[in-house]
Amino acid sequence: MTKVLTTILSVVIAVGVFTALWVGLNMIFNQATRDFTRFSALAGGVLGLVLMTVIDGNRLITSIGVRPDTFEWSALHIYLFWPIVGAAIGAAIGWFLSTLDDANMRLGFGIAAGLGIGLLIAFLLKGRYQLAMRTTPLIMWPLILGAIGVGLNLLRRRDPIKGALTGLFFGWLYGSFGGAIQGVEQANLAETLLAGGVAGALGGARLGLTSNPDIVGRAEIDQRSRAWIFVGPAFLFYSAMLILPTIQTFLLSLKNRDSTEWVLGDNYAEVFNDPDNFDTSSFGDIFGSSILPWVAFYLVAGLLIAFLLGRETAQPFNFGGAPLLPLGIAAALFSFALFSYLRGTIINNLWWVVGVTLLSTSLGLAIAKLADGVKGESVAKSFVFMPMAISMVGASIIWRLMMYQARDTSKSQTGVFNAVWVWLGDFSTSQPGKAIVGLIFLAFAGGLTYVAVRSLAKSASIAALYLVLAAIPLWVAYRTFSEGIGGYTIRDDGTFAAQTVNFVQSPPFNNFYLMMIMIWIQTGFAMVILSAAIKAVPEDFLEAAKIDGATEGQIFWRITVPQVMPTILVVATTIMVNVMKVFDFVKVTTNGQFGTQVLANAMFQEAFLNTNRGLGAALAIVLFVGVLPVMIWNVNNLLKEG
Amino acid sequence: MTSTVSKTPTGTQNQGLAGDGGLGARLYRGLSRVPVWALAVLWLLPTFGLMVNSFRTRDAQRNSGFWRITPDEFSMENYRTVFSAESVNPIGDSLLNSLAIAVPATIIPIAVAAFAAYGFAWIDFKGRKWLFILTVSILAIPLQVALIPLLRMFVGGAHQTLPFLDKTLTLVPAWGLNGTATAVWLTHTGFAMPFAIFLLHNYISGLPKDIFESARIDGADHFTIFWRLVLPLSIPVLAAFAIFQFLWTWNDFLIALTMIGSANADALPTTITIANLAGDFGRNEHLLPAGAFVQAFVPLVVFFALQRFFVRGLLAGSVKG
Repeated sequence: MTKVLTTILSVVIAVGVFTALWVGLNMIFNQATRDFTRFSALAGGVLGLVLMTVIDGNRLITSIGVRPDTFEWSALHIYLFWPIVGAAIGAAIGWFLSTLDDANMRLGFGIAAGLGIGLLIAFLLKGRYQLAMRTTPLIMWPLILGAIGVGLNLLRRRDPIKGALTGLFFGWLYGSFGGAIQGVEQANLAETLLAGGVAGALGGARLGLTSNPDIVGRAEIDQRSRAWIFVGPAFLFYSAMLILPTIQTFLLSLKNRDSTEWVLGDNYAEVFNDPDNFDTSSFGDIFGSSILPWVAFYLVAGLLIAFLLGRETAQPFNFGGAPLLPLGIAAALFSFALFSYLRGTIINNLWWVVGVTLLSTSLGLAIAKLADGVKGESVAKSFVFMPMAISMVGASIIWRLMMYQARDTSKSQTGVFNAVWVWLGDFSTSQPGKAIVGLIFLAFAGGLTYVAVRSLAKSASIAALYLVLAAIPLWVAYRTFSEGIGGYTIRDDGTFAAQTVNFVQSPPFNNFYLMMIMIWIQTGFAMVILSAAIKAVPEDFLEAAKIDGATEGQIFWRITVPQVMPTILVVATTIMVNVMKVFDFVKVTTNGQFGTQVLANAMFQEAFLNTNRGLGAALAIVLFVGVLPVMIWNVNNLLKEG
Repeated sequence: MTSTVSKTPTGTQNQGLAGDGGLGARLYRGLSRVPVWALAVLWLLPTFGLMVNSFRTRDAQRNSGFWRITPDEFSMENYRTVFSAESVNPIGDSLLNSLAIAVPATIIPIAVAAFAAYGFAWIDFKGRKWLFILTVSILAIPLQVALIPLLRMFVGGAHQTLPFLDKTLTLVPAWGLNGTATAVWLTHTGFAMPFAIFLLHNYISGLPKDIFESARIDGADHFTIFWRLVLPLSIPVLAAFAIFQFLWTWNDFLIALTMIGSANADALPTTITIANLAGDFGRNEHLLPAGAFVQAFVPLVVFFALQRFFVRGLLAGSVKG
């Protein structure tokens, strides 16, 4: 119960403090155009509060923020004293300055107030941060920054004196406090007071040089500050959590394992030279692959259909529509063969990117198209979409247990795939089973051939397409009659025995089975977006094509697909970016063993388990480079929009 | 465009076969229902199996697949075990930990991103275009790139050595945030920013210009316009992003594993708890379905209750972009 309470309390505090800060800031700047005196006083007060909190009261934030239980509440007034005094002084200065209109008076008051505050702060630092100044930085930094201030303001056509003062102020701060020797015996109160006093006077002088803004100036304050109030928090968050860490990671990747030495490219060399990451040694074996004949078959078939289609449209070759299917199959099979002989972490990552992106997008498109207008469309679609709500960890567990489980063949299988596979092996090798399974596939092939013959009169290319597709069931039927299909093996003594597939642990295709889990999740995403895009294709186009006698297939390939192409690209790049950093599936199912390592998991292991920060950072940067083209594409699109 | 033109002659050639297309179309329509429903059922099958097995005893789960369930196997034992205080990481505690991460990690990014989206859309300021391009360009950065420095910051604070001076300035003190929900939701908030701003900006910049102009003429300031006009009008897209972000943070594994993983066993969210169960060398495999189902229950409820908003949000985020 206490856990519930502390949880709720911390959430309320986090949200409440944040909202209060933001609304309060808005309230203050609302006053700029309404009542400038009040605005000035409020702004001064807040500045004073923040300054004094940083210098004296930050112990409060440190102690309450993290451990409210150990905080000594009786000491609260000690922590709060100086911040409140600071707020009061700041408010007073702000209020008085806004009532002064004479330039000399303002300058004088500014210098006096600044000097006072500077001395006060220096005095407060007594005992904690006294310093002994060094001459070189004390002269050098105000000169450098002052010069920069003058130069900048000359460029911006503003008053160079103001620039000089700002530069001198920061230069003095940097040179005195930053450049000082700390914690040595020479440190003394006098020098600290000098450092604080001069800095305060410089800052005060700069403040005194301003004049009370007129109505236009106030509107400008409102506009400019408002932009930062609205955009600032987001900018701070993503700078601190995303941009700066990315830069730091890049620097870390150039250093050694505990970031003590620069090693420049060594980590990257290690990434690319490690055979675990990039192994081409068994590439030659690809020519023995049983997939290659199929690649050749579909390549030739695709070219043939393109040729036939070309004759129909009076072109040498026409690759639009029908030929894409066999060519696509050929390309998919070829990349499949390629990825199963090129091994290693980087190759696996590429395989994931290609496989998941292509399959999720095309499956999503197929389901979106097939479900379009079907009875119960929304129910069917929400079944497919549902995995989007399930965590990647949960999905990995679900698939490992429910679908991929492989148990000893003496027991009954509890995973769906192995149960079906073993049953099929059993059934297709038994006598009536063999005939039944074989005939089913023969009938399937026969049906496709029948459609092919029927459409021959219409279009030779379509007929060829169906014939080519009929080759698959025909081949399966042949296999069934000659040996049998499914999960079985023949022992030495000639008897049959069940054999399971170890989906998770047998390389290289276990990579593909792990990808299935992500495809299961991402297909729903692709489907939802592509479904909306398909429904948005203008009805007129489809009607016109129908009147012209186009078939469903022609309408889909030549009207719908080109129309939704931009959406397909967006979906594919979104999925690609997600797949690139795939982590959870691999971590939970195999933890990178059995040849399934991917970059994100390798990075996690190196950086956080092997504590090799340099190598981990280098792996992260490799990932980053992987998505760089997408980033550039995004920015390009934005620039084109204007 | 050229390809459409070149196709016209084929169309006229085929006109005589329009009647044949009718049969094909009917056949197509009849057959198309089969794969759609087959796929839909296949997609549901794993989750359904998980739910079934979560109610089966350990022996029943080990002896046969979930499709062989018999009524007498039904038991709540697995759920009792995963919730009991004796288990290593009771899932009840993890649920609270997940909430402590997901709730602030949903509310705060929405607020921050809504401010920024309004700023980018309706406040004119110098460098607006370039800042917006920067925001969108970091949309694709993989979060892995930021993890190492972020963890270092949460453990030891952030320190910067002053250039040319022999001194180190502490920008963020070592607050010891690693192992707390705060570290995780802070990280989530930062990572969510680009997408959230992009999504909300698409919507907010599309609101009619007239209402802003008339409000300005009536003397309303940006804060009032934002609070009174933009927020109420943006409820649909805010809800869409809220669902999206809640699912994402509730289901996140990597960030929680990095920030909390080994540092604090009492703050583990549900994803890590069930992943730990899964990594237990199969000893607790019979508890996994129940654990995974509890983990998935909250997002599934959110998802089914608010699916409409969610879909709308996804569409707004990708189609327009």
